This record gives sequence, C-alpha cells and structure tokens, in this order.
Amino acid sequence: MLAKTVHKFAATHARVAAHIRLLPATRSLGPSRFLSTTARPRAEAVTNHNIPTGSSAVAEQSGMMPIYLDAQATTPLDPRVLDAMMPYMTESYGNPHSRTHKYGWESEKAVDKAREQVASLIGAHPKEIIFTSGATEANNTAIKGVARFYKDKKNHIITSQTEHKCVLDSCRVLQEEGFEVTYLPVSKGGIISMNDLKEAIRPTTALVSIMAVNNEIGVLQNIKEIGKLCRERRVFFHTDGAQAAGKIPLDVNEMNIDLMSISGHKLYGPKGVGALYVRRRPRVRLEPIITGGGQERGLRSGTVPSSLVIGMGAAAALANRELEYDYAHVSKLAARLISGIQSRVSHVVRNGDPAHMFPGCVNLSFSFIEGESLLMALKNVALSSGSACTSASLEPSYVLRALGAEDDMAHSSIRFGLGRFTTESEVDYVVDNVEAHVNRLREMSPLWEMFQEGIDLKTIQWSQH
Amino acid sequence: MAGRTEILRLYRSSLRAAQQFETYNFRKYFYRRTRDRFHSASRLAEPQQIEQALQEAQAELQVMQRQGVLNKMFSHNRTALEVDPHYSSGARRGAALTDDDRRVEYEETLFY
Repeated sequence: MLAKTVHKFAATHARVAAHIRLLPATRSLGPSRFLSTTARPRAEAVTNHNIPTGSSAVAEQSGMMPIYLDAQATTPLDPRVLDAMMPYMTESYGNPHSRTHKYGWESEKAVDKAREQVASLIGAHPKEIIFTSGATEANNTAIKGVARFYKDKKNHIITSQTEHKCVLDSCRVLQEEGFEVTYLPVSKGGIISMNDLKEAIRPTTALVSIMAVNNEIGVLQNIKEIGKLCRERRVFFHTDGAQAAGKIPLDVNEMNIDLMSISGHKLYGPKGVGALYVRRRPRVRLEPIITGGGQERGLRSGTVPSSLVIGMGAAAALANRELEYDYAHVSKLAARLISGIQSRVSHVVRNGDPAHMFPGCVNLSFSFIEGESLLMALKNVALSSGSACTSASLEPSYVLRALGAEDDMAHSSIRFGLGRFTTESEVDYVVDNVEAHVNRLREMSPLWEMFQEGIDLKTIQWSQH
Repeated sequence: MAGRTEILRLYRSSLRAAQQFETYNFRKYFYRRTRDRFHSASRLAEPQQIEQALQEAQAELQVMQRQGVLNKMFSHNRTALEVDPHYSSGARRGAALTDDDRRVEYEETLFY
C-alpha cells in the first residue's frame, strides 16, 4: 500500500516536473496582446512546426492540440447549441413521452419545437421527421425498412459504389436476405450517370439510395434530377444527407426526396442523434428495425433523448440561419487552401469534379508521397485520408478506387475538412506545413528522384517478392 | 428604437463577450460573426428590420456571455497555431495563466 502511494507520488511529481520544464516555451508568447484578428506578418520562412517544444513526446504531453481540419468526421458542438441544450440536461429532465405531469409536457414541447426546426431545414412537415441515434441508424432504417416492407412485390435496390459504409453494408445484409442490389459506377469526377440509373431501374426496384454530398471527396450528386427520375418511375428515393444538411440548401419537395438521413454532429450539433425524413404523401412505409414502445410513429421505439434532440433542433435552426454566411466563409477558405497548396507544391491533384462539389471538403492527392506518412508528418494538423470509419486500415479508399484513381494516387490522398470554426490563419498554417512536409518527404522518396530524372514510373517492372 | 450610443454599446459588449471564449476557434468565430452581423445590420434602413436585428444581437450577446463563462471552465488546450510565434496573433489576449500553469495547479490540488 505504502509502496503504491510512493510510486504514485513519484509519477505525479515527474509529470508536474515535466510541465514546469515546458513553461518557458509556451510562455514566450508575450504577456499581452491587442484585439487583433489578422495574422501577424511573418519574419522568416517556415520550416517545421512540429517541434515547437523540443521533442514530440513533450509536445504530446503539453496541452497543445492540432488544428482541426476534419469537419467531415465530426464538427465541434456550437456553443449556441449547447446553450439550448443546457436546461434539458439540468432541470428539465422529464421524459418527453410522459403525459401525466409537467416534466413530461415541458420536454415534449421542446422536442416538438426541435422537430419543427429540423423539418424546416429541409422543407418538410414536422410529422415527417423521425429522430434516431444518428445517420447510420437512419440509413439502416430507411434502406432495410423500405426493402423489407415491400419485399412481397419488389426485390431490387439501387445504390452507388461511393456510398457511405453503412449504406453499402445495409445493402449487403439485404443481399443475404435475397434482395438484388445494383451498385452504380461513378465517373472520374465522382458523379453517377443518369443513363446508368435509368437503365438500372426495373419494375421490381423498391428503392434508390444515392448520397447527396460524398463524405470523402465532397462531390455533390445531381439530387434534383435523380429525384425527378425516381418519382416518374414510382421508385422511392432515399438520400444520405449527413454531409449535406445544413451545409447546402435542400428541399425535399423540390428535389422529390422520399427519405433522407441527417446527422446531428455533422451540423455542429451533439453526437448520438440523427433524423430520418420519411415522406407522408405519397406515403412511404417502413418496417421498423427497433420495436417497442411505439415512439416516433412506431418507426423508432425508445425514449427520445430530449436534450440531444433539442440540441439537434437548435443546430438545424442555426444552420438554416447561417447557411449562406457559413457557405461563403467555407468557400473562401477552400479557395485559399487550394490555391495556396497548388501554387507552392507541384503535382497535386484535386479528387472529384470541381463543378459539382461542396467546397468544405477538399480531397487532394500528392504524387510520390504516401498519404499516411504525410498525415503522420503533419501531426499539428488533424486530418484524415478518408472516412474515419476506414482510416484504421491501410487499404486505399474504395471511394477513390471507384473514381478510377490509380493505386498510388488513392494511397496519397488527404482530405481537408473546413467548417464554420476554421480560420484563415489556420489555413495559412496548414498550407505552410503541407509545403514543408511534402517537399521533405519527396526529397526522401526514390519515386520522386526517378521522376525528376525523367523515368516514367508506369513502365517500371517492379520485382515481385 | 435604440439610439446610436446604445447600439455601439451593444456592439462593444458583444465583441468583448466574443473575446471571453477560451477556445481559439470559438473566440475567432464569434468575433468575426459579431463584427459581420453589426456591419451588415448597419446597412438596414427599415426600422422594423433594425429592431429585429437588435433583438437578435441582444439574444446572441446573452448566449455568448453564458457560454463564454462555461467555455472558460472546461477548456484546457491550446491549438498548435496559438503556440506558434509566427501565427500567434490568435493567442489569448493577456492571459494570466497558461494551460500548463493551470494543469500544474490542478495536479497539485489533486496531490495535496
């Protein structure tokens, strides 16, 4: 017991000592600062920002966080959203389904308001919104639900190769249950062809599921035309709007969308909540995955998490109000990032069709460099090479593969996610860092050396081991 | 309708409230948002629109004041940008304590 305490003492003491040693480095910023939002003119060229406090081990221990450029993985909770949630996380804890007392009524009223806010973001009726645990559950409910409900008459589903994993996996499950699934190919720019879709629709097709904005390359599909075609052919149209809702204008009636999935934490709301839009006229029917108390029109049983739902409602209302302002900001930053990198680093390719793109997602391939090694070099910038779900594996992204990207280009891609809270100085910082590290890594790369000597890398016969 | 002095006072309090956020990205965002909100509202002509913009700004100010305090209580990190002297115009203005100071203090309270 005593030995343990002593050990603990020593450990804490060492930690404290480590922090004390850190102080001079972090203190050197100067004691006071003016109320300025512009970047200070830089005195000298930037070489390497990765080692501001000595060794990397020290940098990890200090409270320093990398710059967040991963807005497609998740977005920070907006303080205004938290402000709306706080009362329901403290005093108003009632179950929104309790009909017999004021606690329940209060929560129910707030949940209804949130439902209205989410509905008005996409031009829907509040009764058409079903709260789920997230976009993954919404996608699962929509795809499996529609397919299973109409399975007596219809057995075919159409989706695309670049969909999110949860859509592809839901389709895989349905295939095992005997459904037929068509995975539409995409063009080099990431867009599905309307002709392919037209040809793929059969009389037995129950559902078309095409995402609005792709999570890896930011490509925006032509939702309006797909919706129109599906309505003409009387096929239900589901779209995964997790990356699109609150970022670009969406209207379910104008775009003929029958089902749409939305995620709370992708629009500056809380994690653990999402919504599924289910059209009432013409009515879309679903077989619920989760059954029980019959909440959410029986399509998603289980107590509605009132504080999260209220947060999502507030985030939706905010996104609705700030949509133009945020879009302009993100577009400006994206232009700055792309022109900054492309003017200072050669052989950079932007993935996806620039004409059909949400600007907040910039996917770049840096030739002759391994994306993972650049990610590791850029440890003061929080980035990922693709979706967070697949970033654990070293496999190249299936989305970039579907675009027809060569293996080496798919391996060398990095996704920069810009959002409401990204600043111009952060973009400048990232551009400087990317330039420094790409040049450094290329100098080490034998491929780059060979390329400089004029050898065509595609003609080389690599020996097989 | 509110007079010029009152509007300026509201503007100044809003900027000050935005500066209270400890988290770099929130602080910068709310500063920029406040500035742009007042600049675009200054072009409004209809008294009704002005009144609405003022009410909105007032509500936003209250949220910023509450959340600024809350943010101060829980924030504990600096971004790499703030620590870098080349870009440090984003660093906390006149912060008496750095994070490391605060952490050392906290660990000491745990310890004793």
